[in-house]
Amino acid sequence: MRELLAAGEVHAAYTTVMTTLDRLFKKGLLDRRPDGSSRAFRYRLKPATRDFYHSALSADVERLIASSSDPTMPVSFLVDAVAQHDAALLDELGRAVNRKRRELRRRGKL
Amino acid sequence: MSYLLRALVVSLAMFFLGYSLLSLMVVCAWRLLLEKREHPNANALFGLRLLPLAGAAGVVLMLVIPSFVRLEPYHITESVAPAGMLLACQGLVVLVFGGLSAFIALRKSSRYLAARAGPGTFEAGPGVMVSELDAPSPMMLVAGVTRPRILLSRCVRQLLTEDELRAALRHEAAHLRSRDNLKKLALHLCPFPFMAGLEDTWLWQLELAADDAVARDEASALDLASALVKMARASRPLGIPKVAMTLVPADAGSLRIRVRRLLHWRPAARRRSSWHSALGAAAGLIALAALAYGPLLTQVHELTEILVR
Repeated sequence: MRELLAAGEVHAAYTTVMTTLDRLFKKGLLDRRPDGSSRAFRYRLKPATRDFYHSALSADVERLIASSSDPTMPVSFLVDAVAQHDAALLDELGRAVNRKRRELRRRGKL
Repeated sequence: MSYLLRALVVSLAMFFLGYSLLSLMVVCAWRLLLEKREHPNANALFGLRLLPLAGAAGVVLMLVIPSFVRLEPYHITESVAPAGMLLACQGLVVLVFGGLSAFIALRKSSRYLAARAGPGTFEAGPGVMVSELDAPSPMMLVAGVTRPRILLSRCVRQLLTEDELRAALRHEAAHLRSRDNLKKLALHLCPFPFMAGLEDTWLWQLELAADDAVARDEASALDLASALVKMARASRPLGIPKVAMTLVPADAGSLRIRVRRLLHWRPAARRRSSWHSALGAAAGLIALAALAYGPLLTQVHELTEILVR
């Protein structure tokens, strides 16, 4: 969580996000694992939750596709949305890699 | 029913009973005890997943067949009860379905490798063969089961720096050395529902273990993270056979977790090996079974008689 806040990816108070994550964990939607020797946790979507989203969303997507006379249109919008999301994620990861590279150079470890 | 046919039916029925019971035990152990564990060991998860098949086969080979040979009269003709026949048929279905599934997966993997592994092959380390190919998009994966090798498209050399390429190759070499494709194929042999969570976690731990094999310090971890991001940006793994290990994961969420884990790399605390205690427990079990082998055979034969009557 601290990593996401430090990177400016989450625009919300730390306690708000932690409370939400804790609730999702208690509802069994997330897994959490201690992060090495620190007292922080890493949160991850549970595999069973992925199945839930798959079954829940596939019906909606099917309805969306069936609602159009030209089924390729909603599919192309979906593909665009996924591609934009993935591109944004890769940009964000690329920036994080560059920041780390600069940090290691500054510390003389690269 | 003849002696041999009866032996076959009894073996299959006992195999199915053992396989189903052990599979249910594994599912329960996974859900109740192990699913919440923080750092499950990939090898332990694989052993747990294969336990039903190995355990049931072991019971049949070590107990059912010897007890049948030793205690079943050869010259009598007996029929097998319908329940026994039903169990035997289910055992046969499990074996045939598992065998077919593994055969199809193996054939797909072999064909994929044969179509791509060309003459441009070099050795990247002891026993690590790399085949370079002229694919239009960057790709790197371990393909093949019996003689696995790393497939690398030539354009990866332009995309990655030398350090990044070395880190990526070491990640794939870790998969290759631990024979992960063969392990993946072995899972096809023991189909059972409700195992998806265990298998997903095992695959995830394999990737993390291969990442850990590369990351010796912050710089090497950064090289691998950078290689992952560059490769993911340039290509998406499409049309890859199930029995293969790709460098870039198919879903963005996994990529994000792996990259962030590498960027925050820290030396891992040395874990206490549990091999010695596991070996001790196995040796104890074998000694116990050897001592009780005679009475055990009689008990097993009595159990198989229930299936026959």
